[in-house]
Amino acid sequence: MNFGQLLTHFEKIVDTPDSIERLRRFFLGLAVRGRLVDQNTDDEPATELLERVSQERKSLDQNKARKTKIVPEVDIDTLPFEVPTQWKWATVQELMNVEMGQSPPSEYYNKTGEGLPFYQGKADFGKRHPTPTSWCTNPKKVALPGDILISVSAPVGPTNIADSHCCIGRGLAALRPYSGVDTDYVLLSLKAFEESLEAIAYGSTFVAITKKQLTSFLLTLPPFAEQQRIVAKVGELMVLCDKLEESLSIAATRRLGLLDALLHEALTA
Amino acid sequence: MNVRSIVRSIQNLMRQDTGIDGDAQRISQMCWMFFLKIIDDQDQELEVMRENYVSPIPSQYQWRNWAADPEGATGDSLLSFINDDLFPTLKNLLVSGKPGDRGRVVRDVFEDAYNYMKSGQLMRQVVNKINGIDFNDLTDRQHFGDIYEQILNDLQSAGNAGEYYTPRAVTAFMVDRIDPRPGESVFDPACGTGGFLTCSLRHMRERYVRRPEDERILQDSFRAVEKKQLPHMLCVTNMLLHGIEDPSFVRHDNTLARPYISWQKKERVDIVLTNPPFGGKEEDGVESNFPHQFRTKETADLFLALIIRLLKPGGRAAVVLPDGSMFGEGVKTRIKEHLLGECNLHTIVRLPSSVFRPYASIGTNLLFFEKGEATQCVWYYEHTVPEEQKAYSMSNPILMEHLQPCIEWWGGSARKGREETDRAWKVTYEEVKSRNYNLDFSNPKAESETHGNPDKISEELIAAEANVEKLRDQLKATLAGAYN
Repeated sequence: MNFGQLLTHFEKIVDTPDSIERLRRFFLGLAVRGRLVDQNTDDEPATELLERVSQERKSLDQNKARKTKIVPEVDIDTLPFEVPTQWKWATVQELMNVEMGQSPPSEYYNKTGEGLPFYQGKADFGKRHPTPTSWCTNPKKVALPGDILISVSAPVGPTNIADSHCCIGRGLAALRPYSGVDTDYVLLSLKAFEESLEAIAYGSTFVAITKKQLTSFLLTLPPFAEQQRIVAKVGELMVLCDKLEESLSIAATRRLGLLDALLHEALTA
Repeated sequence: MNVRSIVRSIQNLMRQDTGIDGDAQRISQMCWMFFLKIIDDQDQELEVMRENYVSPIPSQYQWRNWAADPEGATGDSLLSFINDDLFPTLKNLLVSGKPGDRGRVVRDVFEDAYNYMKSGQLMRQVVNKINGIDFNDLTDRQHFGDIYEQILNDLQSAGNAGEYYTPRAVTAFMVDRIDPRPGESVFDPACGTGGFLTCSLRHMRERYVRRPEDERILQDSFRAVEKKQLPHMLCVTNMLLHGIEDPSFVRHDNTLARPYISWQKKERVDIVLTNPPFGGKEEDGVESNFPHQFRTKETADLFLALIIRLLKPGGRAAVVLPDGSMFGEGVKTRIKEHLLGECNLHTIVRLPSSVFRPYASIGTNLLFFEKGEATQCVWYYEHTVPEEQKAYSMSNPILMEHLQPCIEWWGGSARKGREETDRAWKVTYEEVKSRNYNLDFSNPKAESETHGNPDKISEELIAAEANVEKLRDQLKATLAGAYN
């Protein structure tokens, strides 16, 4: 990555609101590659974290009627990129509980607020939390407050966080990160990998991903402390990006205004 | 059944008639039918109140005799009575020429009137509905008057017919500023449906009419001319609805068709209130009625030239003129020079282009002037659409209350204490003259608002760009940190 050149040309290329969007994605990309914040050797490495997480999963599993399938070890040669030594690649399933949505029969739907809010897909999403327009009195799949809701069909990838118990339909899946895996880190990492997730979706007009595709999707995992540092840094950067986007927009408007004023004067002089 | 629903059902009945094609025709049809009933109701009252009163209408054509009986003539026999009998008779009514002869009004109205309806049955139904309104009953008449006003207002969206109607807020404002009093002659040389006349009537009745003599003086002091049949008929009916016993002062004529010089001193008036037609739809001969220096195809300018002549010394006028008259060159220049020389053009109120929507979307100006002394300076007032609206429209028209700030600024009848504000500015005669009598002066403050002061914007731009740089550097630093 020719960073030096990027820095040299920075002012020239980061000059419109559109360029900011690309920068945002770039920062996320850096974040999940461990290039945004420094590593700290005192942090508990990701491998140990994953060990503990897997214990937790096993004990949870014992309570479940159906045992979750164990996903085989990841093949290093198929990894998309290198990560710092304290990091680890892991599948979605290893990091969080995955609950695929299921739409109940329509006779249980209502618009009057009876039962649980019912979310079907991205259309219900807000900036961070979804807004209900339908409710369901006989939910099959329920997400807990704090769960990540991810759209698994048309479009694939967008996320929100549930702010209450809710019923999820076929277009969504609920993700519950295990302890040691930061929810906000998962969110930003899903955003960073959104394009790759979309790429594996099947279908041409109506894209969707299967449970298997979702659970076996690879994400990068930093030590827990580093996850939190990354989340903080990304937060700062996004705020800066927003401000820069706005100020670029204001400058552009002023520029046009100055042009208008000067032209008008020249014409009526 | 109330008046509004009666009118509505009449409109619905007429819609079913194949002969009526469009709003203007429907209004025209309603007008002569209502007119005949109004005249008859009033005749009946006059017969009671006055000795020797005789209706100008021959008895078999009086409404009470052919229309009042719901079981009366209908179908083809009604149709042929109307078309072959009533209309020709009323068109050729013999009039005595004596003042107060309402026959003249009837004849003028029917001169160019036309029966559009083709179904005698529908006509009978309409007639029966009209019978539901008693024009001698004050409440009925007032309600009808309001509805009539609404019908006239709706003309604005009936294509060209919109030219006959000036928004009520505008006429009321102009009348309010001119402040006519009983005894002063008031003339509208292009009266359309009579908005200035009715506003003046109301104004004087509210403020100055105390005794019956006042009312009589008032009714004698109006003069009006309207060229086209439909608005003339609507105007006359409007006058009747406003209690004018003899509306024959509304002449069905073309003001511009008379030679300019033929207007004599004794025909001069104290007050002119008018919204002349813009757009020059006169026959070629008309221009030549005017002296050389005033010859133009633009009717608004011909009217302006004429109005200056028609005012008595000390007389005053308020005229609506389009932006085109304000900045035009050539003959327009001469006319404006004449105006500023003969009269004191003390105020111009500039209106936004949406005031006359949907009929037209042009900038218009209200010119106020007094005959006698030359103009020394002209005050401009720019009226803008209220903040909450983007523009005026049929559903949100200009209202008298919108013009209240202008009235407050005006300074009373002596026009005292006028100050320049963000809406008002003063221009001297010399400035107008140096611009070749171009009266199109824009608001000096608004100009800087819409386009802004370049120096100020330039400063703001520099500040905005500095902000961009600062943020960009911060981002760059973060990136550089990551690189390392």
